[in-house]
Amino acid sequence: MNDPTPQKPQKIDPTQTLFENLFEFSPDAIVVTDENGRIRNVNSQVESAFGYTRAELLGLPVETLMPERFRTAHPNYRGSYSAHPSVRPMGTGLELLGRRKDGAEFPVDIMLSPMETAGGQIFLAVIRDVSERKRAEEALQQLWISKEQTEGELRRLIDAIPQQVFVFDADWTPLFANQRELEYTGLTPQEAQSKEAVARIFHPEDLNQLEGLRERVRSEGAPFEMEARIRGKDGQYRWFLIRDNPLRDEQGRVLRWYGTRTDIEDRKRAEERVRQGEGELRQLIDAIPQQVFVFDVNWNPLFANRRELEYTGLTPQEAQSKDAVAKIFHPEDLKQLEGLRERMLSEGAAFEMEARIRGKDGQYRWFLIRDNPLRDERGRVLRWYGTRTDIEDRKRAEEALRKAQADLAHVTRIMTMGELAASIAHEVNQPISGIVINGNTCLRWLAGDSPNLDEAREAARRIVRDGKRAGDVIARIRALATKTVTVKGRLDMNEAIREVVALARDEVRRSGVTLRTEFADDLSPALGDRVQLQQVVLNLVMNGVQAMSTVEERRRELVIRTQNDEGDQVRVTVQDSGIGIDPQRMQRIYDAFYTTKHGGMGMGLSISRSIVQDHGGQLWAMANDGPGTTFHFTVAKHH
Amino acid sequence: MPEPDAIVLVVDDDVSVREALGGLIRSAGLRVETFASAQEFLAHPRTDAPGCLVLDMRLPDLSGLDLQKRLAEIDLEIPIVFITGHGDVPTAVQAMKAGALEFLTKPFADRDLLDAIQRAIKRDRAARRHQARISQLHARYQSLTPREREVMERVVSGLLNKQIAAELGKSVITVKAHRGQVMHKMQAGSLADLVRMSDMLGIRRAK
Repeated sequence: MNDPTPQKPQKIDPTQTLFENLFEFSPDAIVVTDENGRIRNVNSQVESAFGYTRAELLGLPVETLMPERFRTAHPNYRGSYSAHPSVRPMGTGLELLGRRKDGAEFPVDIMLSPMETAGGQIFLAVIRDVSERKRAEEALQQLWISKEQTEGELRRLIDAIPQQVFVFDADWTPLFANQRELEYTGLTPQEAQSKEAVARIFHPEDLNQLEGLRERVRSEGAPFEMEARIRGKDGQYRWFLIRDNPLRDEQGRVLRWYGTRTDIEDRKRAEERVRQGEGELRQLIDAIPQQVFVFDVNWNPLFANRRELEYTGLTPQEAQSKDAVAKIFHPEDLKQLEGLRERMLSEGAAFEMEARIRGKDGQYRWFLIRDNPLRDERGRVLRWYGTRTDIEDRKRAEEALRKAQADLAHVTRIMTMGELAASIAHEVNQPISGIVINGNTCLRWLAGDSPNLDEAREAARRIVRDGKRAGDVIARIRALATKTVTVKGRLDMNEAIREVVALARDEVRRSGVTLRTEFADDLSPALGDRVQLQQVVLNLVMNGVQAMSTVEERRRELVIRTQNDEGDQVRVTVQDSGIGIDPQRMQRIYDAFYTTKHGGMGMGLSISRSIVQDHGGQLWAMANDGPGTTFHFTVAKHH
Repeated sequence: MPEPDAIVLVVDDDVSVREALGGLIRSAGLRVETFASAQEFLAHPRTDAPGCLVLDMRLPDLSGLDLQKRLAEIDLEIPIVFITGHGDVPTAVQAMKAGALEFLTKPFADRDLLDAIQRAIKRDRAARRHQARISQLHARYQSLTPREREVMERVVSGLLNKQIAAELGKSVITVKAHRGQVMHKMQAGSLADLVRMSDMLGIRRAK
């Protein structure tokens, strides 16, 4: 019966016998059948449970009260029961169902009992509606199923997570360990549940730490974590992160420790690698043959490698001071450094300079100073990374090379001047001739009874002028002939060319060459060594004259031009109308000792090129459209 | 006829030498003009005064020798005193062959230069006088008739009047009259005079 409300108690019929009343008021439905299974009587519970009236049921087969699908088989069961009648439940182990008049089915328990009467054997079937009980049972069963499922899943989960999971009692005796633990350590469940398990699998060094930690946190009941090496079943240790959290009662006493062990071997290795990398970097920085620095934006040293301390002999404290540079830089270079730093601070640009730094032995050596800024996204300088490289040896080699080059240049200059001796003598002779003539003239004006003083004075003035001119020429010759160190300065190329061309003028003329100059009036001053650049010009002029010595069918013309070049350079060109240069030999003309001149040493162009390159310029030759060759060279402008 | 003052022309590209030469020459009481190059000299208008040219051997563009050649080409005769910084013998020979008067090597004594200049001027004067005389004779010669020129040619060739008369198919009287005209027009005082004149004029004697 689905109706959950309890049935109202029925009134006892006083006309009935007690038995009849008992029958009628039984809490269970009772059906009485004859030997043939016909319903002889039913009580009121049958009426309410099955929906029939008593009158409807009387005489009908008892099968009326069961679902149709069971009706066919039932008479057989009934027969076998009649043969061995006893009080027993019907259909033991089977789910019995009743069928209401309206067709609805409901679970029932049925007790059978035979009864001998005068009218023959009858059967009593006590039927109880068990719908409620069935539902409760099912619910209970459902509950069991889900509980088992949940536990299983939890268990599987715990076994599946990539950590070892433990439950310990307050005294660190393992109560539970997940499958991972066993898989990793190879311990049996019994071994794993032993308090000594840790001693077997922890690295001895880490075991001490673990025990110490456990001792400490036991009283506090505080969670802890540590890293330890645990041996796997393959005998190899791996690093684990050990984490234990306490479960406490209301009084704060520890009841349980829940622990996990997470494999951090890979992370550890990566860390190790990083640490090694850092160590190596540090070693590298200390080992590289440079001083390495990190400065803050205001040039306060934040870091200096060991080289710096080794070289300067400064203490780390001294080295970290902003005044360190003042102690070790050469005073002249310090000024330049400070100027540069000042400028770079505003520009935030990298810079480099060469400076002398004093070592602990008190000797200065040359260093190449290079500083690079580190900027934030907005371009502000955060740091300066600096290096100082010892270039003393390079400097010395450069110095030696420069000296060798200067010597060679000097030698070739002297040789060129030897070739030009007659021409140079002429250039000196001119003013001297003038002086002699003017002297005589002066005397002539003074002689006699009425000397002409005005004319004599005029002649004397010319003597002074020419004497100065002769002095200038000789000074120029001396400059060319003297071996001097390179002195670069502001230089008017036009003037320098004019001076040196004067020395060659007579030679040029004697060679039947017309020399023309086309100087740019607005020529920027060059930065250069006068003597060396004059040597280059002289060399090109002599080459040009020589190239035209066999030319008869056309004018022998040499044109020297100056111009401001694009970029920061001044250009000089020397154009001849000579025989030109064999294109196949064009590349060789700059080689040392290559010459087409009789008696030439072949150093001219080689040295000229070195000189020009030392002036930040280039020297090259190009064939003219017409006959002859034009040599070009450039020199950096003076700023 | 009074001769104009002599003028010395100096061409030297070197300012010291050029001005020194100018001063020296002026101190000798001579007029002087200086030029820095051959071109400058050629561009300058010529005066008719007698004089000479003091010329530096080595000049830019057009050398002293080139200028000498150029002057000869344009029939400009002027005595040249070459000066040079070098004792360059082949050049000197070339210059002298081309008619240079003097070749001085620097440094030279002022006297030597002035003497050379004086000589050159003297020569120029003489040349100019000679030239003037030739011009005069030429003008006289031009005034002769063709017949008179025929007679003159034969007279200076040493032919007698009758020989001339025979050659020309004229009478001796006629030849005599022509001869008189020739002597008169040429302003010749004697036969020897006339012969010298014909030499100067370059008149060939007929064969």
